[in-house]
Amino acid sequence: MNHYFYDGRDLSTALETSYDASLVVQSIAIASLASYAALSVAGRIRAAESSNKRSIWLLVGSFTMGGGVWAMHFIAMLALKLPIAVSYDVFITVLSTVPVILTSYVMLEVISRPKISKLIILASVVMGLGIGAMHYIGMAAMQGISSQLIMMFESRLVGISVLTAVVLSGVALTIDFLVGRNKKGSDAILAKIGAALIMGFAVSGMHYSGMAATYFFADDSSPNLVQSSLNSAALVFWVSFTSVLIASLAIFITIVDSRIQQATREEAVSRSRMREAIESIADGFCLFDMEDCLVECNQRYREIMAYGSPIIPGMPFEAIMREAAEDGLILDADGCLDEWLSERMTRHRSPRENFVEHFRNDRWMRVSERRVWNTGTVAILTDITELKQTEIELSKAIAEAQKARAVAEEANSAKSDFLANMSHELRTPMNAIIGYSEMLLEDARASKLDDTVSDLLKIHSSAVHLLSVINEILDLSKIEAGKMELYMEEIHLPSVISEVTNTVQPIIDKNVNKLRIHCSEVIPLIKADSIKLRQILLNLLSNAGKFTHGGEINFTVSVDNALDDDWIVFTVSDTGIGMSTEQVDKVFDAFTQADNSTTRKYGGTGLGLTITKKFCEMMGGSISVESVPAVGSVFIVKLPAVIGS
Amino acid sequence: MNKILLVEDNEFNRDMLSRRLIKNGFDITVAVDGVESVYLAKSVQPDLILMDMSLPVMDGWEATLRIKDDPVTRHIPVIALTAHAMGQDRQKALEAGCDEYDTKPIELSRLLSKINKFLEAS
Repeated sequence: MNHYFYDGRDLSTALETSYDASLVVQSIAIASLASYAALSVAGRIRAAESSNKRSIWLLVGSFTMGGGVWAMHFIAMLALKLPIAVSYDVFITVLSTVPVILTSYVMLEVISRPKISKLIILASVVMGLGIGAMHYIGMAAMQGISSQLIMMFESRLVGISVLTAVVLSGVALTIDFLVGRNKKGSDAILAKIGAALIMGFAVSGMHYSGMAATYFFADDSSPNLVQSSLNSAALVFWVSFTSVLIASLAIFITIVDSRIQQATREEAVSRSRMREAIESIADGFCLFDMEDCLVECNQRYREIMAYGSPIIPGMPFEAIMREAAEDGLILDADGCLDEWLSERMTRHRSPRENFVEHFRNDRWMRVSERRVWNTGTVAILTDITELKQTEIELSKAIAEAQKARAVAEEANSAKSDFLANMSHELRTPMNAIIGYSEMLLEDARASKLDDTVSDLLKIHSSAVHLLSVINEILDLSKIEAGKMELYMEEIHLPSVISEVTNTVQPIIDKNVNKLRIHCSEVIPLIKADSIKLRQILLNLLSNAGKFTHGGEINFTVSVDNALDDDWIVFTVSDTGIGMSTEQVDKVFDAFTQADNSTTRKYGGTGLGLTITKKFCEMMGGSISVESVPAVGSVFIVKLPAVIGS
Repeated sequence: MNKILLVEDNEFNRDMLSRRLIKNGFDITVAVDGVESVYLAKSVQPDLILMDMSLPVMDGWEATLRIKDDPVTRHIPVIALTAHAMGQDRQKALEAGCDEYDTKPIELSRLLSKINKFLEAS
């Protein structure tokens, strides 16, 4: 067997060559499939997490690619029909795989790098040369059986064949790089299929153009038309089968690997998401497994349970609690560690409701533990110190308020007792003074001791005046202390009116006044405290009598049902000294008579109208006044009538 | 002559009122506290009792309750006398069984008319 470049001899002596078309197609398909497998492997090399994995993938890829290219070549050779019998040198045939495996390795190494844009040219050149080397070494294995086979190569075409391989490899790798890496899903697969087909054409294109550059001659110039002795059908089957199997296996494991990696990545993402979620919990969170060992906890939990040594997953719950208690972190365990721990463990084993633990530095934690079926125990520690402090302050404030209230109630009750005692203590001697002066008056009158009678009258009237002052002061004190009680009842007015006017008549008469009483024919019942009503009317009428001389006092009782409610209106008008506007403004204030001189001239405490006003208001009524100096005053009291009476 | 039991702890008031009532033609027996009043009400069987409410040993309300509880003295009218002008005193007196009520200082004519109202009725 001789090989050399074409020497320009007569081409009509060259052996005729033809191809089995179906095997040609088959060879292209195998080259494309192998390319697809190699590109898939390149993807896995890129995604490999470790250099070991990367190396394994590189080997898988280069053998798949190299084997594919070799299988393509071999089937293409079997598709070639020569008029003489040929055989192949086994050693050289095997050797022919070496350059393509090596160049595939280099190509994969290059295209699996993260940044390769310019290196694609290098990869294409290397790959093209590798395919070329494989082809021409493989060709060298071919030999004639019965006669010497001479191969001659057309050098220009040889160059074109290698160039074809380089250019098409470049196109295929560029497509894979530009599209396959930037797109996802079906687009990436389509790009990879396209790139694989082009790569398949790079391999087969090189082969068939290389074959076109080859002329076969038989040395004896007498062609022996014996067919190849090789059992070509069986070879085709086995070579195709093996290469398809290898490529398919490679594709399959890349898919599996890719799936596994994706699943791993997803799990890692979901795990980190879970971690972030757990970390983002503002409370201390921890999870214990079925054996009660710590699985996971967040930083907050570590902060809360900071007792010196770090908390690490795998620690048993009991150990964490014991160490925390021994360190003095949990105040509840102070001085009774074992009892506390055993109680705590009971609670932990069958958690029922939340509870509160007292921590060092007066921190309070609400502990919420829940058993999760088939998982373990989840615990959440919430810092409720502020809440607890507020609660403590609140209960202190409540206690203080209760104490203050008790003090106030005591003071109030003391005031009430004091008023009752004062009332009794002041009236008892007044009773004696008034009683004895009346007795003496009777005796003095009987004995006609006029001077004595006059003096006794002074004692008597002073005593009566003092009694009224005492009464008024006590009344006002009771009102101010909120101790004045009302006994509201339905009162028949005419009897009250006659009783009051009879009582006041001497005062009216004293200043030579006339009292005129005007009373509506039909007067409804009035709901009032009878003693206080009498006091009101007596006060107004006696005031009118006191401040009027030789005048007229009109006492009118009428019904006012102009508004929704019915009112009984008591009007006391006089023709007395009257009051200025300033005096009117202050007339119901305590301890203010019109001026100090009036007290001396007319007597009284200045409390009468204050008490009168209070009584009117207590009974749901009102009092008003109009007055003109030197003309007279009008006092109007309105009290609610009993409706329907 | 109508017999009146005057129950009063204050010496001057007791003296003053008993003398004025005697002068008005009544036979007066005096008691100085609640316990004595219950005892005398039973033994003297007065026609009427003037009962001060603020008394030592046993107060007037308690004494009245006992007198009104005892069938021997139940029929005797009791007029409560009190220096307390508080509304609740009147209410308490009537609740204890007093038949009438008057405040101190005594206005003799008013008291006499109240006394006579009961004595005329009996």
